[in-house]
Amino acid sequence: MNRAVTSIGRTGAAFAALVVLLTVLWFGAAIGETAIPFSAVAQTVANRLWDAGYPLDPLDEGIIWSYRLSRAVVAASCGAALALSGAVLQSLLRNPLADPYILGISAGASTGAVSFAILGFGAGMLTMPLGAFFGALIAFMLVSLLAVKAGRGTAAIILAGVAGSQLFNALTSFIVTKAATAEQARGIMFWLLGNLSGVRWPDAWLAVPAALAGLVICLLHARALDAFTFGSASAASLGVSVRRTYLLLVGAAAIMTAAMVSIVGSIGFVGLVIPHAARMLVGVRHGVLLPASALIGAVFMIVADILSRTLIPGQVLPIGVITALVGAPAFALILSQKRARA
Amino acid sequence: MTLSATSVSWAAGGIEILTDVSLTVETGEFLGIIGPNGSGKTSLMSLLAGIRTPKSGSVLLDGAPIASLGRRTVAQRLAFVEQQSETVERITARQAVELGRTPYLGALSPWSLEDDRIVDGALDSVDMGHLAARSWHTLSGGERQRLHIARALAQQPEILLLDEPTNHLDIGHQISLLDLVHQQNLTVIAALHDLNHAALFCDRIAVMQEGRLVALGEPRDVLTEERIRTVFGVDVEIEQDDGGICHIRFLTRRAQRPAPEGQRRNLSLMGA
Repeated sequence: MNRAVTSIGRTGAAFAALVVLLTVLWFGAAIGETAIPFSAVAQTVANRLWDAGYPLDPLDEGIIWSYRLSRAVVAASCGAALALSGAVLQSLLRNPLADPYILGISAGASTGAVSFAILGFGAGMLTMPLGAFFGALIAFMLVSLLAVKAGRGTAAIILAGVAGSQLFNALTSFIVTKAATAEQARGIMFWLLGNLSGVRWPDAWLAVPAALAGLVICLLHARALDAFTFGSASAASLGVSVRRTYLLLVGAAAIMTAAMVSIVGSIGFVGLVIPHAARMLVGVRHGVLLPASALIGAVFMIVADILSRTLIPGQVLPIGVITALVGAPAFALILSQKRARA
Repeated sequence: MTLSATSVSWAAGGIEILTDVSLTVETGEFLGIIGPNGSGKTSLMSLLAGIRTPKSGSVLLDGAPIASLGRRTVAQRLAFVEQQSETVERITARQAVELGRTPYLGALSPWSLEDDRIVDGALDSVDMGHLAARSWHTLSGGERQRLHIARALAQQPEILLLDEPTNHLDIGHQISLLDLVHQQNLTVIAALHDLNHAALFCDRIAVMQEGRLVALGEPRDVLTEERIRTVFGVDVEIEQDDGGICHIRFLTRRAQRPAPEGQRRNLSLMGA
């Protein structure tokens, strides 16, 4: 039974979550092709953050700090943001199959990022994120419009998402083929598959704030999301301003997705599967579900990244391959369960 | 607390669904809205609940346009139970009722013991306290409907709007649910299908036909044989008992027409 959660319980849970996250980040920085002891990770962090002055091999320190840790931090932000977006979209649309990837938001963000990068809109560092954001919003509007025209049902939204994804993926390929130089094209194709290889600290300065801001916005609307349990009319009669909530939260999901897509490309199934796992573990209350989704998403992505670097010796798998290998069967499971219940 | 509609109209997809409806709900009364399918009962209910905005005219809550009041303020005074609302979320019975506290809880204000007490009270008043921990999907239609009412009660409203609250319930549950609502000391507006229930429970009845309000008054004045024939297209006989409550008897073709005549008609049809 869900009684009032005491503030001590809340603080304890938040602390435990932080410990879990830091531990997994630690693993992310320690595990890789070059074996580096766990203690070296702690020493590197101490050296970099507090000038602790531990004597370390500069090469090891460089690998840990500039390569693995930044990568693990971005992976964590990315997993948290995608899982949050999925949880929010599933609740708002009341559709267990909703997620940024399936609804075509990721594809739209890719198109936006690519067209801004190649056609040269925007400015500097923010070119791709900005493009990704516009692309994500346009894709979501298009898919929503199509879903409404197709009859609003669960199937209609998913089919509209499929259509949207195909359209935007085709547009991306078209723009790349038509306008990109050979070198640009190679880079973009690599990025499109979902890849953390090129990630460095500047990317974390976009990913971490985007994920944190998204988490805060979603948490502030946790009760409003609860109120959508019986649909939007019911939410309205419980005092939720439906349109405002909808715009704000879809906007937050789009910004989070766009930020992550612009850094690591479009990664599927995290947004779909993680919220379901979180619901099984902690229940459907958004006050608990949202932080749990974010945490599990972050941990899952770090682990997926470790796997992508270590599964095939000497080779890096695109992280999207790992998430899809886990996610596609999970998607099938949810789909078949839904059928059985209907 | 009064709720009134002043010449509201509403249209969907270019089709006019409500035309120039005006009515005022008195404090503490049980107002029934009756009318055939598609007569605009549900649309009128959602306009009164402030969930939809009228195309013209306005809905006033205590004299202020409901659209100008914040959604939260409205939800603290007025609760609305839709005709059918379902969920795929795996919530418990209690959690469904706890949603009723939403209008009183801010983003940062925590759930309090007072909220627990109110939710317990709402569950008990619909006689669902013993099933509080049950999963929503294991409950019957009647139990779910009682929980929807409990959620509305947890909102601690002064006005309760119910859109066909007894749909899908067996007769025992229909009566006990209306009885329960009647005992709450609230202003109630309920769209009802069953004319006898309307006669039994309502202080006043509003009759809708093709999007217009065609009658409004006490059951004995509104429920006449003539009106039921023109609005619903059925022949009835109405008796009043000693308490002044109308009882409506439906005269089906079978009851009206003597058997031999019916047989003759069938024979003649066969012959044609």
